[in-house]
Amino acid sequence: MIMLGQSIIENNKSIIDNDNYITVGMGEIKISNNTDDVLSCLGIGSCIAVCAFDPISKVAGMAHVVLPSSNGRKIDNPGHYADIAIPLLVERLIKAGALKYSTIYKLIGGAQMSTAPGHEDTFKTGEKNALAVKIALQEARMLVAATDLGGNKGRSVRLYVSNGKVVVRTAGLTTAEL
Amino acid sequence: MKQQTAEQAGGTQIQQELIIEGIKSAVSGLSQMINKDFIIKDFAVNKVLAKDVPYLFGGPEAVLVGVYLGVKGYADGHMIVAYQPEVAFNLVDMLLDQPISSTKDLMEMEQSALGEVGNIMGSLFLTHISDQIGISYRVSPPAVIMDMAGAVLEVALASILEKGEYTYIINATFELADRTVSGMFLILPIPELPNNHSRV
Repeated sequence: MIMLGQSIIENNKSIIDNDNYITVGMGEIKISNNTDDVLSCLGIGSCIAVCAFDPISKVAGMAHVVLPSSNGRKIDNPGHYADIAIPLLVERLIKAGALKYSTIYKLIGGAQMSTAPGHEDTFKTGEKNALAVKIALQEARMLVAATDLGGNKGRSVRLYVSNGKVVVRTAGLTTAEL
Repeated sequence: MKQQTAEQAGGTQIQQELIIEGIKSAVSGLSQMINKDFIIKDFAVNKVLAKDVPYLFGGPEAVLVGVYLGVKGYADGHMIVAYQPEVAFNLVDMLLDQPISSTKDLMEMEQSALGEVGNIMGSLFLTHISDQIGISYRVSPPAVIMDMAGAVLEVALASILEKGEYTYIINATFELADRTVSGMFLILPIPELPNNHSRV
């Protein structure tokens, strides 16, 4: 049983900015019910930060999805691919006490970082990631409340576990709540 | 010239030699391209965890300039020649024969100049490796990106992380008569770099 206020951060090998800022690295999934915590995906381009928050249980989670599909490959880092990361995020949230149908999801990222000729496929990953994440969430019957997807700028995302607030900072220093 | 040993950097002896000679070849090509004599002041080859790479450039949110090159051939991969912005601006000034601190942003002409440098260096580097071990690589046209470090490096790191945890970072400092260009990095697709080939 998880006590309120007890941090349940998974994979504590990650780099922690300070006591409460927890970086979710590429392919990682983090869950927390510590209201002092802020889960962060920093400097994402084509990747997707999948933010989840259940306002009833105050359990939050974040996945840093890198690529759309595992294509059945056996992998060490399950958060890497959308098709594996999303079911796993949902499972870990529920295990931590989140209620499936009151948890809301917000998606950020999926940028195309270059439009240079000859790289169309390489830099279309963001679009593919966004689609794969949406499909996986739809299959899991999860509610997407807001998105900030596409464009051609990097973003940093912070999810405040205390209230589920999601703040997006875009390269060029514009910051907005999603 | 300061240089790291193979043991310090990790990786096999043949990989180390290939990388060091490849860098020398790339710098020599760059010197010819802009008709100026570069001196390699020092460089270090480091084997690092791919997920930690953005932190070597000041963190995932720090602004970084990257020249991305796709690698095709024996195996597909990626290379990025990355600079902190002030280093990139300094390099552009050098390439365009401008006084130091003239460049303040990367417009089309500046991006084109940086792309060409990345293209020449990447091509010569891979040509050297190809010639040495008898396999074929070719590079794509360059794409120049200036953005958050995490976002710039992501495409290459995503691919590397699919196949392994580590990659090589090369930190090089070049000197010209009136200025030094430091902090140029190459990220290599270490999973695709052969470690068991003999030289031909």
